[in-house]
Amino acid sequence: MGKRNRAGFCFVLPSLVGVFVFYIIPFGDVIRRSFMQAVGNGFAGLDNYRQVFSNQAFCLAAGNTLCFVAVCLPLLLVLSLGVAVLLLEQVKGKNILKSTYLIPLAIPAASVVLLWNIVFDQYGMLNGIISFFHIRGKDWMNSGAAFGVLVFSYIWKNLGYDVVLWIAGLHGIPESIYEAARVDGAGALKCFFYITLPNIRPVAFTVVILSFLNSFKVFREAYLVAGNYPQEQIYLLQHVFNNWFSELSVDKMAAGSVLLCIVLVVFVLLLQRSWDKED
Amino acid sequence: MRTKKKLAALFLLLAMAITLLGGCSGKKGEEKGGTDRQQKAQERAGRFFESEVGLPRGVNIVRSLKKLSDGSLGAIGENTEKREYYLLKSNDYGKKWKAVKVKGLRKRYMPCVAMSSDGTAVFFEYAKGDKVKAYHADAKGKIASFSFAFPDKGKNNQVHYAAYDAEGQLVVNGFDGSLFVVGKDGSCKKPFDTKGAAVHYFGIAGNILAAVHNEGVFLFDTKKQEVLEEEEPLDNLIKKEKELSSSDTDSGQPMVFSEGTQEDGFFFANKNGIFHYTRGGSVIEQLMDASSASFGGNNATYQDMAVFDNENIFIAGSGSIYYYSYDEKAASVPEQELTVYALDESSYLRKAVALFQKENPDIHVNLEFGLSGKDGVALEDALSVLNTDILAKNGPDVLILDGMPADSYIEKGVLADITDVVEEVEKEDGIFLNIKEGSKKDGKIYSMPARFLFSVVEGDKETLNSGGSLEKLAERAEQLKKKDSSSNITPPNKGTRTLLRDLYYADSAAWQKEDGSIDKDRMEKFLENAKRIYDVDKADKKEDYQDKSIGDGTFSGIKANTNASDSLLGKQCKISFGTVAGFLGFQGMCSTWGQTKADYCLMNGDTVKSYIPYLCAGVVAKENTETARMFVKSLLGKKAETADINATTGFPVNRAAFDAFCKEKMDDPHVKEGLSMAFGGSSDSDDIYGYEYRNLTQKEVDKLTQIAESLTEPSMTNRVIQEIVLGQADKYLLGEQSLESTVDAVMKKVNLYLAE
Repeated sequence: MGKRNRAGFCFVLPSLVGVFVFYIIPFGDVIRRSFMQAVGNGFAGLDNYRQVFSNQAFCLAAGNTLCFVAVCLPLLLVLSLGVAVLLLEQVKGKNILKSTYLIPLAIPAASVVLLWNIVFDQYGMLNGIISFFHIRGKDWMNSGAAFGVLVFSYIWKNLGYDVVLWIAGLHGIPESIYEAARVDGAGALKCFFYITLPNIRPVAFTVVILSFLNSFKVFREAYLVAGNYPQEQIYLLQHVFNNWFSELSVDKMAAGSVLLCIVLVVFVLLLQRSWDKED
Repeated sequence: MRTKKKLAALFLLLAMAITLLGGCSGKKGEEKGGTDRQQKAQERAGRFFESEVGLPRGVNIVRSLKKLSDGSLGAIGENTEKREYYLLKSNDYGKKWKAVKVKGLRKRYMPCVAMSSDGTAVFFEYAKGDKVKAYHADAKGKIASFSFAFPDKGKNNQVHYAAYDAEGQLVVNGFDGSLFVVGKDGSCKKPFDTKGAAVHYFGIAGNILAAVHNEGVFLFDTKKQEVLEEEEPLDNLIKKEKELSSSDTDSGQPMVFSEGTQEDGFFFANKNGIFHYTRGGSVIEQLMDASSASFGGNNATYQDMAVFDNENIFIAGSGSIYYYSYDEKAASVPEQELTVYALDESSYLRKAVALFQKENPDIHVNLEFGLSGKDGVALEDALSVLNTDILAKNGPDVLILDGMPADSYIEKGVLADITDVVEEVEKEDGIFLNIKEGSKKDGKIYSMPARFLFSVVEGDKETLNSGGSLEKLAERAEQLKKKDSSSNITPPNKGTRTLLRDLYYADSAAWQKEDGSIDKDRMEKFLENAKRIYDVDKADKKEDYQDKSIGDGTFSGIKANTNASDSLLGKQCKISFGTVAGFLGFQGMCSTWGQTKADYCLMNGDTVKSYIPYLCAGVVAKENTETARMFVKSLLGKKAETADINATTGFPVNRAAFDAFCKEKMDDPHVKEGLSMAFGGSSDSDDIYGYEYRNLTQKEVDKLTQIAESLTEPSMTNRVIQEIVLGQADKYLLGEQSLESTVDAVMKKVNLYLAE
């Protein structure tokens, strides 16, 4: 190890120790527990994994989580990029708009939950508004609409954050490229597809990963609004893990966590690989 | 220089890493504590033991306590039913009492009383206008009235607390936060400078007055009438635990004080234990931990404290007197430890723990409650903490499984088989065999209730003929409404949640299939019947006061009837139903029949004969479960089961205890004393209804025994399922969703829960 590397290593060491102590070592224990019985030291082999795969609640939650990510992620990426591009144009009051998009991030989860209750309750504000137009309201959080509410909440909360990330990326594209393209007769759309998109690829990787991970945080609001057993379409993986822990089903919880981790790692690796390939 | 810097940086990093890793190594704090405990126990000897002091006949609570100047124990007792006051005196630490009735105060409520060391007392009435009327009572119980006005005239000139100092000066604390001395002629003066702060309450230890305010404790010398130096440890105590400065209760104070044997020292007691403090000191000495005493608990309040010497201490709390005597031979800290964990506060459990400790002085019992109700901990949080402790092998030894996922614990091997313990109790005292059978899982007992409740329907003969099923009950209620549409048929205090909970307890056992899932059709029928019963008086239903005040009937760790005999007596309904929470409640119900001409039957008994198991004890499977088994045996034993002198908190599962209560209630000493109950009618009228308690008849005892023996199925007490069902059913009853969508939502959620 060179002198320069040694110094760098020293700087990284504290956080590395933290990651090891608080993440890697506990996760090692989770892997160990996934092969053990919930209480005691009895070896369970692959039983816990078999139970997880045959568990209807887990399958439902995994399906819902996958569906949620599949709907939310593209929607958020496209919307936030669109807003970021628009904000970079000479829009009047764009600075205020930029800050406005960030407000949801600053609102604590408890306040968001209160807002949800006020807006989406059976006797809430939304139903009150639509009743003016003679449309019959519904119990948003206890019907199929709950999934839509969850998607809306996720987009609302994370849009501003992604916009900021995209803007940072967009600022990194030299203006001279756009000018040269315009001289050659390229329009706005051509500039977007042939200059903007290829140049924000490195930022896109970060935005996708962060948005993906943030999609798992939406559980907090869903849990606070609808409790342990919400409408079945918004019953997510974290609900299962939470309830399993309350019931001391640590064996299943550990196996489920390992499986989830594998899926996440595979997703990130595949994403990275496809990025590297195209580069 | 650079090398030195690098070395220093490396050293710091290493130190940080070791500190971080060190936090994960070694034994847990409590285990270390356990080792220290044993070491200390070997080093020192002596500790306090608790016993409850019996009160003389006719007195059911104690309002004030004092060590009298002749060395005897003095107290002011009250018969709350008759509103009679007594001056009590005992020369043998409360074994025998001499009671002198205070003449002229009968039927008058005295919100504040105080006793002087010469055996005289003072009683205060509620102030009317600016003047407070009070009565001096001499040692013979003869009264002389006087009145006084607060030095600062304000809106809240009511006496909150009063006490005599060693010189016989009467100090009074008003609800307005004032503190002043009242002379025998009614003159008032304010010798204590409280710097503008409101005094929430105070205590007197000899001539030291400790006045508790928001930020700490003011100390005054009442004899010299001067301010004493502030004591930092006392101020810190209040700052650390704000609830100790609260005075929003008329049932007592969060802290009580008494003089010590040293001039500058004094004793005090609060929810954490009994303490001694010497003025000018830096440490408060704890003499006894409340975890091993009956007076502990977050909601605990106290009337008074009397210290005879360092070895004999009396505390009046919750109406009873507890005596703490010091045994110098006992190990200062017991060598063995036992942790008992319950989610909900229970006065019964506290008494059972105190009894066990008394019988086993070498075992220290830590009694923990997961849901104290004051720190905002939710059920899920409490269970998460408990599960983490169990996984870390640092969990409790005994679990009171009410509200816990008992089936999951059994399935995962957390609980040990206690069939042998139950059989031992059965051999010694007998046990309700039906409840023993109802507690079995795969032929073994992992959890056994110490008490049980059941639901009844109360009304006229025709109502009782319909009480056997919810469907017939609904029919009967509708029929009565048709006949008399202007009257309430069902108890007015039962809002949706209370009504549903009562019906759920009586019917849920019938829906549960063998595999643990729910029978959809039966659950649907339950919802239909609940809606029919609710709709009978729908228009007259107001807010669900009962649900808000006592929920499922549990209040401050005590179970109360949810059956509304009083509403039947007050002619506010024609059918009453709900749980009967124990012998006192049962006796109360029977006592109203002289006026109501009603009778009772087991609710829904033709469908399912169900009971509500309460205080279900289980032993956590560990290497050594001997002590835990001993505790469970004690909890199920006759002594603990009869320790609840008020006979509330369910019926005992222990047969000998049940029979003993039956016998007592057939010749109840309280009845001889004229125990009575009075209450208001509806909020719209000023009528007062009441009844005199009477002895149970042999016929009533036989019927009760027969019903208790017939109960076969425990109702579903799983809180998750109960909350899902009641939450959805609530909406259905209020008309917010249809029956179909209610059933659908319940089934989906419950199936999801079961699928997990």
